[in-house]
Order: sequence, then C-alpha cells, then structure tokens
Amino acid sequence: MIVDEQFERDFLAVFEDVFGWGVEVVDADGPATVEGWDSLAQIRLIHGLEGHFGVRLPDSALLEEQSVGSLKALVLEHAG
Amino acid sequence: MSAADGHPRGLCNDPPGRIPRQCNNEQMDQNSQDLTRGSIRALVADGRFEQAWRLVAPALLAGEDDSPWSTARNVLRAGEQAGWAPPTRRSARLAVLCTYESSELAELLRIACLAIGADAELYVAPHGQLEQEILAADSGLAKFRATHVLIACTTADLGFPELVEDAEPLLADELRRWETLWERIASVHGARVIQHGFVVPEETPLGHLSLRMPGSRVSLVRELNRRLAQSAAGDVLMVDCERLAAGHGKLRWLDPRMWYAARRPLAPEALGVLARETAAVLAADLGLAARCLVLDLDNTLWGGVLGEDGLDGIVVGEGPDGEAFAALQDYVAALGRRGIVLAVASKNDLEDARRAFAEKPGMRLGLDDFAVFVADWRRKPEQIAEIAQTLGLGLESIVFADDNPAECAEVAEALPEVSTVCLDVPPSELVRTLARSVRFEISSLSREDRQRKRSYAARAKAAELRAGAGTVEDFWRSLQMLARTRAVNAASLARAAQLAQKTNQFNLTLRRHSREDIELLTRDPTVVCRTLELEDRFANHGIVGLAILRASEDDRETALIDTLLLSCRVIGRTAEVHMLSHLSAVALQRGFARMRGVYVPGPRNALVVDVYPRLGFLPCAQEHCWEYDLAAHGPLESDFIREDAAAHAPIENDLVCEGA
Repeated sequence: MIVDEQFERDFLAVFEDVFGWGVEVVDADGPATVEGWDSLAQIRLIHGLEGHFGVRLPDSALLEEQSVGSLKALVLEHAG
Repeated sequence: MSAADGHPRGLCNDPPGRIPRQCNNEQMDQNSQDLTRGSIRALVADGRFEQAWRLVAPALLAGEDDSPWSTARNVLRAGEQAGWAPPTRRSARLAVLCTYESSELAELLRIACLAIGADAELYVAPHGQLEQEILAADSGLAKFRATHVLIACTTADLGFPELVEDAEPLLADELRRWETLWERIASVHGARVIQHGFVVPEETPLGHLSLRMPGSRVSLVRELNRRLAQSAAGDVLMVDCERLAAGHGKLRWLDPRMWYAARRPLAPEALGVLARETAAVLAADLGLAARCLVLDLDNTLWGGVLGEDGLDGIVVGEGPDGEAFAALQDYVAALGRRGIVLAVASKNDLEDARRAFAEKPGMRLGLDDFAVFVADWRRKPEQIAEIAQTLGLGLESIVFADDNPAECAEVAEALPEVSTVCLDVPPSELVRTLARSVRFEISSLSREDRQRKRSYAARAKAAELRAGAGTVEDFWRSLQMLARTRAVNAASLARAAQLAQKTNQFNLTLRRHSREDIELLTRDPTVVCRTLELEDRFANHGIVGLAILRASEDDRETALIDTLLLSCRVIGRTAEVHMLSHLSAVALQRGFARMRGVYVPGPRNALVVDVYPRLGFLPCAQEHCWEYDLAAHGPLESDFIREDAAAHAPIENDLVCEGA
C-alpha cells in the first residue's frame, strides 16, 4: 500500500471516529498530546484501523504506547 | 515468537495481515455507509442535530456493523457542545455493575438507550465490585438511587472447572450467589435487576461428549442459565446472552485478545449488539416497546404485485420464494398472538387485497389477524396516521415494515416517530430482517397482552358501529358493556404496574407507580387500589383501568384521587365514569366528605383536562384541581356500564379486610 492522499484521509477518518469530527493530528502526536487518548481510545483506534484497512494488527499494538506515526507504520507493515 | 517482532501470540490463529473483503455486497454497504456518514456530518455542521440523529439512530438498533456507534457518538458529542440532546420519552437511573472492564459497554449503553427513546442516567461502578456495591450501605450504588441495576457478567466469573464429579453443590452455590444479590438489589436498593445470562463456552476439551456429561463446564453453564431464568421469573429481567452470542457467532462474540489486553471478554461489535439488546430490555420495562406492526402487502407478505400479477400470480406458500413469504407470515402471526396488534397499509384495491387473504391458498395470515386493514391509493404516512388514530395508539408505538425503500424513507421523513423496518432483502432474509428489530421486546407476557389483539380488532369494529349509531349514548348502550372493578391483587399486580408505566393519554396524574409501589399501596388499609376489567359484546378487553384513592394529607375528610387511568383501547366509552362511580361509593362508605381530583398536564394527556369538571366536580383554589361534594350529591352514577354482580364477592371481602 502506498501512502497517498486517500490513505491519509482514511487514517484521519478513524481518528475522527474516536476523538470527534475535526480533530487534527500529526505523526508525532500520541497519548501525551491528543486529548482523550487513553487506553480505551487506543483500543478503539486499533479496532477502527483494522476494520477500515482490513488488517489484523498484533496483539501488542493494543497495549504498547503508540503515536500517530507508529500506527501508520503498523498499518502499512501489515497491509503488505 | 515474541510480541515485539510484530506477531501475535497466544490463542489466535489469524496471522496478521490483510483480511480479504468478504463480498461485493459488503463493499457497497461500506460505500453507502460512508455516504450516510458524510451527510450526517454535514447536518451536524449545519447545527441540524435532530435530523442527523434520525439518520444514525435506526442503524444502532439493527445490524451488527459497529461504525454507526462512532458516528452516533460524534453526533451526540457535537450536540452536547451546542446544548442539544436527543428527544426521549422515558427516563431511568441505570447502575451498571460489571465484572469486567465496563467503560465501553457503559458508553454504548447510554447511546443505545437514547436511540430507543430512554434517557438513562448512568452510574458505572468500578468493575468487579458486585458484592461491595450491592451489600455495603455507603457504596456508590446506595447513593445513586437506581431504578434499574444491570449485572453484566462473563462466564469466567463462575470459575467452573472443565469437569466435576458432582455438579449439584457448585450449581446450588452459584444460584444462591446471584439470587442473594438480586434479593438485596430489590429489597435494599428498591431497583429492578437486569441480569446478563452466561455464554456457554465454545472451546471444550471434552468435545461433543461435554453435552452428555452433567459435570462438564458446558453443561454446568447451560444448567445455571436455566436455573437463573427459572428463579428470575417475573421479577428479574434477563438478557439471553447465550442466544445473542450464538446468533452473532461465538468466535466473533468473544475476543480473547480484548480479554488479555483490556479485561473485557467481548469483541467491539459484540458490545454494540449487547448494549442494544440490553437497552431494548430496559426500554420494554419502561413501557417503550412497540405495540403495533403495520405491514405492506405486495412483495412484503407475498411475492409479486397483486394489481399486476393477479390473485393467481402472487406467490405465497409454495416454492422457494412462496415458502419464505409464508414463513414471514407465520412469524408475523406469532407476533400477533404475543399481543402485537397487526395492521395493513397497502397501495392496492381494498376488495382485491381482502380477497387475497380470503381466497389465495397458502396464506398463513387471515383477515381476522388484522385489527385495521387499509388499502387505497393514499401515501403511506397518511395510511399509517389513520391506523394510529383508529387504534388510539401513539405513532411511536408503531413499527412499519415495507419492502420498498422509497416508501420506508417517505414514512421515516413524514412520521419520524414511527420505526421503519425496510424489508428490501431477498425473500429468504425476510424473517431475519424483521426479527432483528428490537422494538418488539417485552418484559412479561400478561393475559391482557395476548387478548390485546382481539380487543383492538373489537375497537376497530366499534369504530364502525359508532359511525352507524345515532347518538353516542345509543352507541354506548349498544355495546352492552360489563365491568369488573376489583381490588388489585397478586394476579393483577403486574398488569396494574404495566398500565401505570405505559399509559400516556388517558392518565390524569401521570404517576408512574412501579410494581413495588403498588404492592405497598395495596397493603395500606387507608388506600383503595382498583383495576377495571371491561367487556363488551365484541370482546373482553381485559384489565384496562387503574384507580387509586387515598386520604388527602392536608384534610382527612378529603379523598384524593392519586391515580386514574385507562388504556387507550377503551377511551371514549365512559369507563372513567364507572371507575369514579365505584371510587365515590367506596369513599362515601368510608366517611369521606369529598373527593379531590387533579390533572397533571403531560405531553399527550390533554384529552383528560376536563374529565372532572364534566362530571360535576367544582374547581378548587389551585389550578387543575377539582372537588366533588360526596355529602351533598352522593356517589356518581355509571349509566352505560353495568357492574358484573358475580364479581362483587371478592370486592366486599376486600373492603371488610381494608376497613379492619
């Protein structure tokens, strides 16, 4: 999968589902900089990304600290 | 293999990587969802929260996809910031006691309740604190004053081993544990219990043998479910999680990954289904369930178009499609027997449509099954509005099912209170699609529910008669009405509470007495609690009225009418006069000098604003308050309804008893 505009849009749509419409994030953002990014939100994010991109991410993704950038990398890695 | 190199460990066999899309159909669904989501978002951006909510809420109440939940959350989030909340018809204080991580379930429950019309204020206890919350006097639950307590549990709580020698002690202990909690919730917290049942584990080392071993974990969980349900009887509401999990697919219901990572046994999609079904059970208990199913005919109850294909051309009963339509008719008929009032709204010639039911072989439904049959060329919203009016039902208690998406959309637009079920599916999917509606949930099945269908049909017949009768008095006399006014007893308690909870129109004070309230009132010798059963020459309507009379707190000579209500089935036939006549006789007998009635205005009870003044009550100083001078005028007369003499014996007994 190539990182293109469509990918960025889909990726943001998942974040908007979790954090509300109009949320803006950059790759460096993570739990410390995005309001409401707690463990529950992270589960929603992983689940949303899996559904949206048709991938299954490793179990560890649920618990390990993530950033927007690391989640993108995970999705890309597993989307093959 | 370690978690760090990006591969999963543990029980899951799915390798990470791409999961193929299952079929084109789903892809199309995905596209149309994106479209809907886009238009909902545009509505929200426009500040049109109500319209946005109307688009998303129905999706929460059907289907297994979980994307509507995040859309709904965003609509609510944006609405809250703008000071908007969805309209609701009932409220509840729901305490969620969960043995597993509960925040997601609680959040979804709140949304599901709103979608079904209930404003549930939630108290979410820290998870795994059942006993502490229920038994401690200073717990959060004790402070919350819940109307309902949800016990959300999982099979892991039971700690059952894979196989035991003697099942009985384990089962007895476990049953006692839950019964004790139920009993405490009812007696100490005064709340109604909603209990999630247990899911029978999918994996078993005993294989199919587990079914034949009473001591296997599979058998233990099955048996515990059975005993819990038996013990719950009419008092505890149960959610059949085993059925939900099996229907959804247990491998997709339980998600071990979520259990290990988040202490939550259910997959995200399953939580949505569980929240919706739990909300439906709560809503039914609050009196929000649907009471009437309005059906289209062509390509809904049979295949083909009657007006084009003719009686011989339509398909029902035989062949693959015919069997599928017959199955839908069977399902609808069963809903009817269960107390759902059935009606037809069809664009057809009336005589042709009626003849189809009378003459077409293979039909499972007959003309008698429908309380109202509307077939003409008007728009569906007009037809449905007429049906609601004929039956005296609010639009929100109607579900409309039609195969034509355009008609469904037209009804949803014109009558947003009506729930629509779009049967735009292959014939083989009809029953499933209708069965997925959670609007038909009921909390208990009373004799009156089963009689209701007949009674509504009788009401429609009475409406015809009214059109033919000279004066309304002639009409009342022609009905040959017979009443049984009786003290509320163990047999009628559930129905009395159901009436108090559900009656919106003919209800003077809108007091929502619970079953427990009424039970307490019946034990108070100074209070008179009466149900009214009404029969006419068409049907026995069952128990359709409730009246409660007690001494006024400010004046012991005044009897206060605490509750006076009638089911909408019998409005407009002087049943209220009959109840007041009975109350006034009892009040006089007990030495009261006057009777005081109040009217509490609500959203739908304007029709009773003048009940008291019409009957000769005189206005008091306060607004909406009237008094009747018993000493001067004697008891009120009921001119058109005869009291069944045979029913008098228990009443007299009860009066002696109450007077003692």
